[in-house]
Amino acid sequence: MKRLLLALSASALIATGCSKISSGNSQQGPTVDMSGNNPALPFDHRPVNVPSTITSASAQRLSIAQLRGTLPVALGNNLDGSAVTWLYPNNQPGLTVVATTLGEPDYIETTEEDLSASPLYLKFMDDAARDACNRALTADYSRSSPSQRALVRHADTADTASTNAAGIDKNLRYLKLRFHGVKMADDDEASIAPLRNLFTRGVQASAGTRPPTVNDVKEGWRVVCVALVTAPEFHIY
Amino acid sequence: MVLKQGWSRRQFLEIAGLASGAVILRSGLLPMRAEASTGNPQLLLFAYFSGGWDQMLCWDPRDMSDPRFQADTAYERGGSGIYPAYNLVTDAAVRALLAAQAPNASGIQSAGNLTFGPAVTPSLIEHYNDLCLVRGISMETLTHEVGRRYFITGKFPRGLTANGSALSSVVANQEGVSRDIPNLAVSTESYAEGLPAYAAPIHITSAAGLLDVLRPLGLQLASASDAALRDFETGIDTCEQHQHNASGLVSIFRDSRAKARTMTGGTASQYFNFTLNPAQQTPEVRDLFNALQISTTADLNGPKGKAAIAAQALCRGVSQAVSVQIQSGMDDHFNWDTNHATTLKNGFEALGLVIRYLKSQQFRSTADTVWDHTTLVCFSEFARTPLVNSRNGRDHHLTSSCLVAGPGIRGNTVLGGSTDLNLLYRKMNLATGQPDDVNGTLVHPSDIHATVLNSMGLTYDHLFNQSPHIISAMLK
Repeated sequence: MKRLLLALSASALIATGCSKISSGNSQQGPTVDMSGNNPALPFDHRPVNVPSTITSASAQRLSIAQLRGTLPVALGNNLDGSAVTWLYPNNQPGLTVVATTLGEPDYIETTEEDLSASPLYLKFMDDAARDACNRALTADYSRSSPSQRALVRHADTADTASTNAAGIDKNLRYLKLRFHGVKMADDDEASIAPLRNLFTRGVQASAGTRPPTVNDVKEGWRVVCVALVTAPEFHIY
Repeated sequence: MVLKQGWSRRQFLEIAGLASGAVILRSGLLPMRAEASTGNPQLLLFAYFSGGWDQMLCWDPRDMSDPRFQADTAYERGGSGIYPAYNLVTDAAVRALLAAQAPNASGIQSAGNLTFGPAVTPSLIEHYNDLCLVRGISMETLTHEVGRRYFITGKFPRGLTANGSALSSVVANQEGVSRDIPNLAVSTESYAEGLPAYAAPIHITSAAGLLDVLRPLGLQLASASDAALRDFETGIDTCEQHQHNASGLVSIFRDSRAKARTMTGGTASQYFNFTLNPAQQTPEVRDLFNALQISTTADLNGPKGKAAIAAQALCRGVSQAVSVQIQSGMDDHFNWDTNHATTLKNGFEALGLVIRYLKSQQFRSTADTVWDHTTLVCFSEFARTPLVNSRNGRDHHLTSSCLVAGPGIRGNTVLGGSTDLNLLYRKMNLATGQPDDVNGTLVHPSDIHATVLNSMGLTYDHLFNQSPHIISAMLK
């Protein structure tokens, strides 16, 4: 029993350093309740020895094929109806150009994909995020109806945190859910604040000292989009 | 003292210690270790010849004038089973060598204590005083992937799957974070199992590919936006990340992301703008191309081009360890006579020129040359059969050799050997390097790895389950 208490206490101590994005409703996020107080067990179930670490299938990185499928879903369509994805400087699909470099198997020379989160993978994901997010926002900013947009759906394209704080927060929560599958509660200020700050700094970086224009706001959304696409939550499942 | 009912002071300290341990780990213990570098920086050039090379054409030659190795005796029952067949080779340089040695051409070239087959080029032989030939290595496999991965990691693969980390990754890891790309892999496989992100290989296939790695591609963020993004990434540490981090994958992801940005933020890309137009070449590229005799697109895409990337990465301080597939297409089950020697020769030419170039380049701000700090290991996955088959080819053979050189390696040395019957491996006296069929030890790739690492002053603990031996005769 003491060992169990030790393990639970250690988990609780470590968890205090974790910024709790999904604090609003623990049933909606992908989190696992490790407190040992979960009422989900039937009353006549024998006591469960909760381990300090929940062991399940190991987390792993998206494969190139999964990324190829994921980016268009997350980023929506271009105005011509084609899916938004990363294009290399030579206008070829980026994930095809770098597939061999990133170790996608060709089933001739290689039959197994290297799924490590290598610096090379992250480098190209940085490139991919900057390019693809720009394409998605270019398409969004050409659509007048918010419901048709992929990224800026809950705010006007010119809105900033000072002109429409509620709309910006709602859109940030929407993007967090869209890209990471994490639902942030409406009152979870601690989790939304860093994203809002990032958006605002992105707008300011583009606007400088003058009042922000639509293009400046677009830059703010691009920074947010890049941050979400280059985050571990997007690539690891 | 009891702090709370049921809780002793010992238990409280245990918990506090556990929690603080977690905090210490998260706050960057790994980066501290990563910056720990050895005092004497060591570079590694890990050169691979893909397809399986013919030993007799390069590292373990046989005298073609010896009656035992003539066609009519080699194939006979009770014959040697060894047919060098140098006279069948169509390569012009080999033919010229044999003509020069006529009328009793052996096909063997000598320099110091070393003997070479006819495909080894003068540009490589000129470095004989630095070279150590290890003959009679038992590769334990005739499967390309297995042999290749065995020599890359020093551990026998699990099935076809590589086991452990590449020699270059081990060197990059032990040398710490000091380069933009500590571990560069040019057109070759490389592995890093359980090593920090900075030691993981960066795979590229060309100089253009390396440029794409070293420069951000496409539309950039404004610098202030970029700074905001980095602040955001540094500050954010979500519960979702914790859940995914049970095996450390998120930590690796974050480390790799930081490394990727360091990589693209530097000035190293200027060294790899490999254009053939002299007017557009930087002085460094011009010197390199002159030294490696690169003047055509074919040169750039061939062994010399690959070798140039490796040389530039080592000389300009971009990489600590470079693995490079110098040559490929050597799996000559057919037409060995027309292909193999030429393929080998082109690879050796590039290798010899690279060594010459490394000897001409200053190592950082010291009086040393880059070569003074470079360890070279040159290998293939296995060798080729000592008899020519009915298709003028040679098939896969277990007994191989490798070429080693470096500041801790005894040059002008031949170690081990193979038999004059069927070209089989012989055990080696590890202290003298002489063949010793009774009390000697069979040499494997793991022994080469351990000895090379030892010569560099690095540990080889990761090879413990391979029971590696140190070949002390290889060490200075």
